[in-house]
Amino acid sequence: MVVGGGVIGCAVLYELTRRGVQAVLVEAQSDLGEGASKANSAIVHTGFDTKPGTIEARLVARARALWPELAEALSVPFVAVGALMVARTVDEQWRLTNEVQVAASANGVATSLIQGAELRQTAPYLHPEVIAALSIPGESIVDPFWLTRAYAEAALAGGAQVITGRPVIQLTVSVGSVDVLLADRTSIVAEQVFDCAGLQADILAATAGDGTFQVSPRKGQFLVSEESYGVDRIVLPIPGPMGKGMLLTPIVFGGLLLGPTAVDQVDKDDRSTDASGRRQILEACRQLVPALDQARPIRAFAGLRTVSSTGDYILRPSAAGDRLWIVAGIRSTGVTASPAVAELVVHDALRARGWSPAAGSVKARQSFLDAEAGEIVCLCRSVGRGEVLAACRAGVVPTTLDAVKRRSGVAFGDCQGNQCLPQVATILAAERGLPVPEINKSGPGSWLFVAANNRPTSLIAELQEQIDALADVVIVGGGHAGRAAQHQIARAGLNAIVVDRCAVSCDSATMHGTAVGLVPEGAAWRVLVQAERGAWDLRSAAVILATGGYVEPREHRAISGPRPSGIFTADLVDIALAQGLLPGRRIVVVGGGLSAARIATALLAYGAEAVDQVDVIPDEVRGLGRLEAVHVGDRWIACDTLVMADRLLAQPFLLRSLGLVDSSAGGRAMVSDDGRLSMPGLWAVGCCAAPDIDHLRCADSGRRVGDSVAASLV
Amino acid sequence: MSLLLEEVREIGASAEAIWTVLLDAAALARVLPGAEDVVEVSAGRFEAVVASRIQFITIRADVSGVMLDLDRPRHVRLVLDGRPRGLAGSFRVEVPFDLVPLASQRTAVSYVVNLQVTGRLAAFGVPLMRSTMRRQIDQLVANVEHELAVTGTPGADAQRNEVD
Repeated sequence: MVVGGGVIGCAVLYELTRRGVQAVLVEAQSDLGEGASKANSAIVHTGFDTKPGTIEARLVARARALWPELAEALSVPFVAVGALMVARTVDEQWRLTNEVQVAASANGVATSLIQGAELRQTAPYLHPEVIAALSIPGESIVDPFWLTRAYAEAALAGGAQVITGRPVIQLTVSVGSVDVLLADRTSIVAEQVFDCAGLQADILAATAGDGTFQVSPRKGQFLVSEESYGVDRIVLPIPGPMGKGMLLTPIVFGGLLLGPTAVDQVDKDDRSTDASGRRQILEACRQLVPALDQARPIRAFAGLRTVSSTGDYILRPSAAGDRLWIVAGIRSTGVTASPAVAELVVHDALRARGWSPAAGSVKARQSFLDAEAGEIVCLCRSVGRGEVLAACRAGVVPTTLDAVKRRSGVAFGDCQGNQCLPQVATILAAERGLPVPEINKSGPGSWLFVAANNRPTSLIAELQEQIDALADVVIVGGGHAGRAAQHQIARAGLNAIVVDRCAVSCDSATMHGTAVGLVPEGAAWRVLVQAERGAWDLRSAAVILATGGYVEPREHRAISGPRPSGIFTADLVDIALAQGLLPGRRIVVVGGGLSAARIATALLAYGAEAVDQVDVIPDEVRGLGRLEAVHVGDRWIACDTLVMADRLLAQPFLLRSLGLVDSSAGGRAMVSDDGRLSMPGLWAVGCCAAPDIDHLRCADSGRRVGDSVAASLV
Repeated sequence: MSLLLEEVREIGASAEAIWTVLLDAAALARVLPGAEDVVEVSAGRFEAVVASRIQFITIRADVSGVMLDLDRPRHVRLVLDGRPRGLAGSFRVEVPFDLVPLASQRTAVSYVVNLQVTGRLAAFGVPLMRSTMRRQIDQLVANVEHELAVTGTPGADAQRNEVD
């Protein structure tokens, strides 16, 4: 039995299964990888800087040889992007060549020094004061969620079992077995147990009477930037005593990961972030890449690395008996070393048992998308219902919203799920045969919705399938600006089709669906529309983008504290209420405008017990599973829900693939006075170009741009 | 369109032989990585179903291809427009190839890969797309060399178009 479903535990399960051992993994949390495995740098290190003679150095080196085959076998997103360690002074350059490069060479890692024109050509994004950089081409990136799950799913395919949401509370080691007691008072007897419980490994071992080691948490805060500023490889400073320092790491699915901080703490559960950490990260990363001055992070999170009392990995039989193996103290190189750690401990434990099965191959489940995507669920990432359903049904079946998110990619984009989570929760609830209010964000207590008093009737009419695929103008977005533009164009005798994912009715001039792409075709445009029943192409001489904006979510803002469920934007609340779901009972609404007042009124009408309205955003929040209180000004307000309705960001996502806006959150479409974009036949209007205007000015701008477009075509 | 790759490869064949492979739909079907079905719709235009493995997922796409700017045997621009099945969105790949003869029946092929992705594929990120494209090009170069090595002319071996 493996106790602990992080990357190490899952790797051990995979290795056991490869060797034909009947194995089961037990994880306390509701999903795999809920500890350090979900919040780390996602780097597969070469080990260029590991301390010689340590177990860590040996296993990171061994892992280097295992990784290419592992990535292939498990089909995990893994890219060797390389790294640049930079020097800004002559002294630092001396350290690069006389310390770092020498150590790398001793560890068998190839490096080369780059400077001058070659450096500027290789990495034009680096700070101008950087005078040299050590290139480490073998440094790679991976998706750590995917890796952890891929180990487990391959093991499942090979006959292993995975149990989630059931903590182990007691281990009793005897001569020939270990009695494993679970929190629900059931017990399982295993011939061999591996303690892979991460930060809880010492506590778990202590239940068996082994108090020979301790592990403590070192918190690292990270920021995520959707825009990568041209950074195509890992950029890091010369390391200090606490580790590699703050670095910039390309994310395998795009964007940049910034950080981490490194602060030792006692609390093994505190993953809160704060404004100070955010400042530190941005300041340090700007010293490496100055373009980060413009960075608008879309998310902050914190992970807890394991610091071992021995200063190295602890991989050995327990003092309580060799039927229990300790696999602990795997500090920040856990993702990297996981295949080698698993290989070593499984080999040694099996040899001690007198079992010597050779490693075979366990084939990972091949993912092959061929089904129809269906309607778009996640607007920011164009994730279709088909993908979400596939994620709900595959391998280690998800039971929480976060688990679906990590499998399908929903909610990772700019709006951080505030435009899709009610729909994802509804899909997951239907798959599990539960009412939506029983779906949690993560673990127990992190509830999301309660049933509303009023249940609206269906708002969405049938899909208009017979719509003409050729139009004079396609307008993407059916809000005030889009409809006003359509009206003016129709008055000029031209045909304008509105594509709207929230259309409340469909007719010959309205298509219910989501525009997912704009493709130039000579002097015309092709608009790719994804709808529930398939994909459509609309062609037109002109396209008007009226895609509006979204309320800036908590994840973009410098709000200190943990990340409980119950913090939403007005967008999410609108969608939830339309589905008959109330986002909470005691609610604080942020914002002083009409939108905030409308949301507050609606929440009371739908059954909220109390709604407070405040003008300024809280600077701190409290709550573990669910939100418990927010700090505004000089007071704490007890509440279970925070709704932000104060600030809109532009949503011109369709322009990204055309290079007209970058991937920074809130980047607005840059238009001329009459709404023209820089490509012929393309226009933008309303909040996607000017997010701070109200609905009346949106309509005005729609009329004006509609007239301009009509004039250009007539 | 964003620039994904700009590279030069050497192929052990003459420019004329490489040209023949690129402009022959049947040969292209054999060397294009993941091509499951290639139908020539007119000279220099074809439609295909292409399966591509992006590390963790294999995507099958309906692709329309066209060869433009033909300057035999020195330059051709391949444009592929595709719609992946099962994912919302599209892609357009433009690859101008320049063929420069070298000594001993070898040719330097320089190319630039420009890619526009919309919808779901855009969320896969540049690192993955670049890595995938590099693998596809490696496979294409190997397939072309193999195609020409077997008989010296296109058309010898139909077994190399598997997903890499």
